[in-house]
Amino acid sequence: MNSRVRKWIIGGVAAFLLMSLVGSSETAPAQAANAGKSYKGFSSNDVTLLARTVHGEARGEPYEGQVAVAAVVLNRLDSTQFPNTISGVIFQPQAFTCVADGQIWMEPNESAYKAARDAIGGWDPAVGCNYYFNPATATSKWIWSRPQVKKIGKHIFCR
Amino acid sequence: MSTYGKIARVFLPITLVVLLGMGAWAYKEYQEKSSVLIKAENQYQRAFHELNNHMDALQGEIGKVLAVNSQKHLSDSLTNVWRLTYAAQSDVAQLPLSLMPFHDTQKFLGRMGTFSYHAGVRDFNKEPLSEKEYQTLNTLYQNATDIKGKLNEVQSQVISKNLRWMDVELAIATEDKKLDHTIIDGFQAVNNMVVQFPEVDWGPTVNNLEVRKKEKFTTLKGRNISEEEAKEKAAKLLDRTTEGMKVTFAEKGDFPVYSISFEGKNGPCNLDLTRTEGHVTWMLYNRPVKESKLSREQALEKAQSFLKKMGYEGMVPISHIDEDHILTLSMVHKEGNILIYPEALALKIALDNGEIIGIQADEYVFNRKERVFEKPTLTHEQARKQVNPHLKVTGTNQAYIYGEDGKEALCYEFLGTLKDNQYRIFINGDTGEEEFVEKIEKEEPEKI
Repeated sequence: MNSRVRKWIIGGVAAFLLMSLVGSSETAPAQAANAGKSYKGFSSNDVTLLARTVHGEARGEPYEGQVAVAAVVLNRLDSTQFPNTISGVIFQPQAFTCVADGQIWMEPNESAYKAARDAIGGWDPAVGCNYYFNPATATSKWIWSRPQVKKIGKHIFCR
Repeated sequence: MSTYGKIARVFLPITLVVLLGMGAWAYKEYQEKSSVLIKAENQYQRAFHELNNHMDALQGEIGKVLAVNSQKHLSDSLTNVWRLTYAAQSDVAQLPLSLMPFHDTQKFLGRMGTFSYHAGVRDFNKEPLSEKEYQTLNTLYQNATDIKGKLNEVQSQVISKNLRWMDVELAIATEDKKLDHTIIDGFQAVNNMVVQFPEVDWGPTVNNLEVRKKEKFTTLKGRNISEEEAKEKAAKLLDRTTEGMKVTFAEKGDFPVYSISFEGKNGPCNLDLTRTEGHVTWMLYNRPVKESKLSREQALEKAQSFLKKMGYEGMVPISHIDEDHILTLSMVHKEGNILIYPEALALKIALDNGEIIGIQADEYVFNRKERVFEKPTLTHEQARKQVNPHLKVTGTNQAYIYGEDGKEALCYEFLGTLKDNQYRIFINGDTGEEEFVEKIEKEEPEKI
C-alpha cells in the first residue's frame, strides 16, 4: 500500500543497505547472514536476483542499458499491473526470456551487480518504462503495439 | 553362403538390440518429458482455479460489506476484500498472461485493493462509511459479479474441454491461430468488460495517488530547450566540450528528455536532461574507482560545490552509502529548519579525486517548488507525546512529506531507536496522527 508513498520519501537513498554485495560466491555467508535485513523491502538476495536478471538479459549491452533493464523490473513493482516483489516480477511466466531459458542461473558479473544497485538507488535510464524487447528476437506482435520510448543498445524500451 | 549373409547374421541381432535399446530410452525420455509438462500444467491449473475461488470469495465479501452494519464486521469484510484482491492479483501473475492485454483487470483489482484497504483500516467511529462510499461499494459488487461470472464460464470450459494452459502459453508466444483460443478469448473478454465498466468513484485516496503520479511530471514550467542547448548544458556541468556527444530525444517516457552519451576519459558517460529548461534528471559516468583518497567530509564539500554549480542550494545529506571507493549521498532540501523530503536527490562521488560520477535528481526536479509554510497546530512537545513511549528518541526535525492519502503534510520527524533498529516517525503537525513510519538501516543521526 504505502510502497508508492514511501518511494520518494526515501528517494534515491535505497542503495545504502546494499553493502558488500559485489563479488558473490565469496560473500555468500555474509549475504546469508544479511538475508533478514531489508531496505525498501529489498534483501541482499533480492539484489542478487536482480543482478542475475540483468546479467541474463543484458550482458554485452552498454552499462546504461543494463541499469535500464534493472529499472524496468523496479518500475513494474510500482505498477498495480505487476507483482509486488522482485521475484514475483522476474518469475512471472513469459516475462523475461532469461528466466524461460534458464540463463538467469548464470553467475552475474560485477557490472550486473553495479547496475542492479544503481537502479535500486533510483537511476532510471528507461524513464518509467515497464517493457523492453529486442526487435531482432521478439516473437510477440503485441509488444510492438506498446508506445516506444527509447532505444538503448539492442533493446527498445516501451510503456 | 554369400558375404552379405555372413554380415547380416552377425549384425542383425546387434541392430535389433540397439533398436530395442533406443526404443526403451526414447520411451523413458518421453515419459519424463510428459511428467515435467504435467507438473508445469498443474501449476497453471492451480493458479487458474484459485483465481476463480478468490474472485468468488471476493464477490461474496463485497456483498457482505453492503449488508453488515457493525463497525467490527465492516472492518473485517473490507480488509478481507483487500486480502482477496491481493490473492487474485497474485494468481493472475502466475498465469502466462503477460503478453496479452489483461492489464486493465489487474489495475482494477489493484484499485479495489487500495480502496478497501484504506476504508477497512479506518476508524469508523471518527469517520463513518459515507453514502458515496456505499455507492462505490455497490458498483464494485456489480463489477466483481460480472468478472466472476465471465471467469466461471472460462473455468467450466477448461474443465469440460480439458483445455491446457501450456497450449495458451504456446498460442500466445507463437501466435498460432490453430491452437485452441477459448482461454485467451475468455480472458480478453473479461478485460474488455473491465475497460467498459462505468467510471468508479474511487474516493480521494486512490485518486490522489494516481493524480499525483500523473501530474507529477507535468509540473515543470518553462521553455523547451534545443538539442544543441542540451549538449551545451551537459558540457558546462561536466567541465568538458560538446565534442563527441551523441543526443537522442525521447518523448514518450514519463516526461520528454534529451539523452546524451559520450565516451569519458575512463568509461562511458550518460545523462538525461528534461526538454523543459534542461534539468539533469540523472547522470552516470561508469568508470573504475580504485582507491579512496578523500574523507567523507571532503567528499561532502565536493558534492556541495557541485550542487552550487547546478544551482541547487540548501541541500543536506540524510544518508549515505560508502562502497567500492564510491560515496553515494542522499540529500533533501532544507528550508529554515524544515526538511522537504519530496525534494530529494542523490549524488555519487568518486573518492579517488572527488569527481561526481552519478546524479539522480528527478524527484528534486519535479517536486521542487516554492512552499508557504504554516505553523503546525501542535507544538513539538504535543507531537512528542504521540510517539510510542518505547522508542528512544535521538533526534527531531520538522519535515514535509507526502502522507498516506498522497497529500503533502507538515510533520514532526522523530528519529528513534528500538531494539538496535532505527526508525523515522512522522507525526502530522496538525492532526497528531502517525503519518508515516520508516525503518532505517544506516544513518548518521548527527547529520539530521
